[in-house]
Amino acid sequence: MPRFLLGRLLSHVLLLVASASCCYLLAASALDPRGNYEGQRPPPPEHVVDAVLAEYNLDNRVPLAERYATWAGGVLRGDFGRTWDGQSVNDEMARRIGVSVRLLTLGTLAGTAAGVLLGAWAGARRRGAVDRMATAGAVVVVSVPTVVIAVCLQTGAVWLNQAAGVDLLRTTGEFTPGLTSGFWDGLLNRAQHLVLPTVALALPFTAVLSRYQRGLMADEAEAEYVRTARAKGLPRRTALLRHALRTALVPAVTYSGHSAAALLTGAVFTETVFGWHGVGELLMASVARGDVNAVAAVCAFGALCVITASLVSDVARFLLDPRVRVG
Amino acid sequence: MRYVRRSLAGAVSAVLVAALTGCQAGPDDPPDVAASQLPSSDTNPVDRSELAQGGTLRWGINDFPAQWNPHHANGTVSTVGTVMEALLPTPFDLDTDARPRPDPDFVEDVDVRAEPQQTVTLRLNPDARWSDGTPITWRDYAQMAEALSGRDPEYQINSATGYQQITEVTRGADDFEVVIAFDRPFADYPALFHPLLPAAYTATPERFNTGYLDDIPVTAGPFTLEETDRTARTVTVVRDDDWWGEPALLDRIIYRAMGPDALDSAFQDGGVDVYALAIDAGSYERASSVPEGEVRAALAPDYRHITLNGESPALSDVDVRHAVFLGIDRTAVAESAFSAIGWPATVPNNRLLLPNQQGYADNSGPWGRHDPERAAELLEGAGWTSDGPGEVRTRGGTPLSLRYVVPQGFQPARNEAELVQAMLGDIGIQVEIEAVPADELFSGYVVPGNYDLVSFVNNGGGYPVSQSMQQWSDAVPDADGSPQWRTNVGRIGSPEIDAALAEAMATLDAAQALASVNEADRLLWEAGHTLPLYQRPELVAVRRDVANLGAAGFAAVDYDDIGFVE
Repeated sequence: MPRFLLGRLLSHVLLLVASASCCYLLAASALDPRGNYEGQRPPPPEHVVDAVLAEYNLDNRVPLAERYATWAGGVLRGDFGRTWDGQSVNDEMARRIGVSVRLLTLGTLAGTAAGVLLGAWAGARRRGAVDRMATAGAVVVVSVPTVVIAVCLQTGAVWLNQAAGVDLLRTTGEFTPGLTSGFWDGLLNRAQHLVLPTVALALPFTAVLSRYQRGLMADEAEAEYVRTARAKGLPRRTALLRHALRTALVPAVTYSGHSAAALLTGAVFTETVFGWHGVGELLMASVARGDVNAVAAVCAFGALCVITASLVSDVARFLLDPRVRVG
Repeated sequence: MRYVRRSLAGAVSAVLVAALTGCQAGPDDPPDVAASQLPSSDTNPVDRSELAQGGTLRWGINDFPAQWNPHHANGTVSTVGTVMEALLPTPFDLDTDARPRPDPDFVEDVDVRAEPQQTVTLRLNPDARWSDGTPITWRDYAQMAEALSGRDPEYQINSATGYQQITEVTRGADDFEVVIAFDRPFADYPALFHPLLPAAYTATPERFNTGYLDDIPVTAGPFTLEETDRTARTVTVVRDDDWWGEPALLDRIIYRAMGPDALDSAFQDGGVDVYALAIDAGSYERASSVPEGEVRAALAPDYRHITLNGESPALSDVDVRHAVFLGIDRTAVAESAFSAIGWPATVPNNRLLLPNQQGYADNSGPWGRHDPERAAELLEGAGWTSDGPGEVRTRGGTPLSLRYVVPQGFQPARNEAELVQAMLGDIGIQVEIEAVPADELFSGYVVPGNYDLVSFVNNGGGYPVSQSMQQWSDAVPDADGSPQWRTNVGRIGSPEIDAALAEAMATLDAAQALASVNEADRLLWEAGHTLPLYQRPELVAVRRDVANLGAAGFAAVDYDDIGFVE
């Protein structure tokens, strides 16, 4: 066992180093932090621009290899450098990751649960009423851009609040700033803010996953071992739940794990529309600002998430699948 | 330079709002102002005695800066000004006509002498104190003038304009009198020390560069810092009880940073009470559909324009530049830009003064009209001949073709360029629109002169000459004699233009200064330098019950007077 896992771990670490380096090199060669200053009317004195850029290792007149060496040296000491305006990238990332986790946890869990259940039901009763409705719903949700779903939800919430005469749902931010109230009120306030982005995240997640799960379930429902189980007298419901669903679950959960990992840096639209200052928003803002160190850190973090997800699924597979252990 | 931010969800939300609000017409509809002009300011002015004491105002901002020192090279984001003007001293403020006046909270009296050299004596308000208890004295002025003079390159300043001309700042009769001496006349002295920094934070480059980094350590204004929350991206300022002026009406202002789309919906659900709108139909629709809110609109202190590259092969001929001027119907371009929001378009005929500014004159002469026939004559005269209407003109086999660079992903700029493309096509000038990465627009194209046409926004403001002088100044030869254009990206200049600008700067007589400004602008029209397109509207979404805040145009916001109507 350790040999297999150790091998995977080593290859993943190498992959991480390679992808983080690629991120930095791509960001450093494609982005132009100097442009921000030259676009100002009038621009700051040239020696000041040089000094400010050099201070944060952003000077595009320094050879790329030299900048990379400086960056990599910092990263090896656990320091991802500074943003264009002098903030610690580490601190900013820590804050942003916290926000993204708080935003995504509920949405992805709810999306996974709903997707698996809906897909399993639809797959077990193909061409039934539920299957048809689920298919139609999934097609609509998948084909509508996230932005549109998010704005629809916001507009609906504003309408609902007006109709109800009280603020049931809040459309932007993590909590109401300046609210001085007790712990429970604070928690309620956060919940009011969390509902809409959670729904906005869960809907597309459910749609895609339910399609995937439906296909898996349909295959398993017709598999020979299920037929055998039923021939032995097991009711259809039990045969499907105990045997078919269990087998069909593994790939779906792996898939949802990977998607959730990608969402940590990829929930850009949900974050921007709902005003949550997470990692995705940072990526967009720093690309626009030509902020090389921040872009590199976000991309490296994205790589880390995906690689970790795949490592976790390797471990799971190792534990679940005897063929891996033997082979 | 400012881009108009385009709302991501703009189009979507416009449709949705229309669908969900149905036919709720009435007070939320944009006022019918097509025939009239936008005002210079729209802030719901109410006397402070009629306003409620207290309240919290939530103010939506676009960025959450790390560098809060407005004079640092990284402190030029407009949000820094929005927040810091409530927290730091401003010796002079502009009124709605862009005339500077001393702010009695900081400066009680001003005395200006032109002979033998210009000196400005400020009588400071002796009650004024920094939040750490130190009085505000001549030392703060002297230390800041030294830091911003650029003499010590370690100070990461954003501009030395004006401070370079200061020879010394000395103590007058007592600590509360500042005597500022200039080596050559500088008429825009009220633009200096705006805002003033404490001497402790200008004394060394280290303090200047990092003192206000991620922190607002010392303030002196109607409000003072309560806290910044970097995770929620909010800055909270509270009424400063040590403030010596009229106490602020509001208890606190919470600045909340969000993207433009999130601000739109935060305004809808009451998460922010005020925010500056992008000129975008979707945002405008959403903001004006809010029953408790309204959009206050005034003429913004800036204008959009087309800059022509005077060193590009085709445009190095002034007749071709004038033909481009005459070939563009600026009213149509302006109307198209504002069609979605239904505001009237103002086409300025002056690069240095805006139409609602004192001293504005139309200096365009024959070059401000839309006159395709005259344009065609000029092109014929310059040797660019046409085979027939709609054909691209050629000279010696070379087609007359111009490269119009636009930032990628910014649809209004593209629409504008396409409109100009069609208009210039009619007079036989081919325009190729080249979309370039937005962050490289200046560094890769405009500054190195790698373009023929480009549009962006020029900030006007109360100090037209000192703010924009470098943009119109003639090239300076560098060490090996080749001309350096620096900020003058149009690469057109003359000693006469420089002389007129210098005269405007040199006289303390306001009327004479304005005459020189207009003379400089007339020469710029003659030289075919930069075609002004339209003055932009400033749109601010505000809750109806908020007074003394909104679209202020040139004028400064009086933070102590912002309040809620009872």
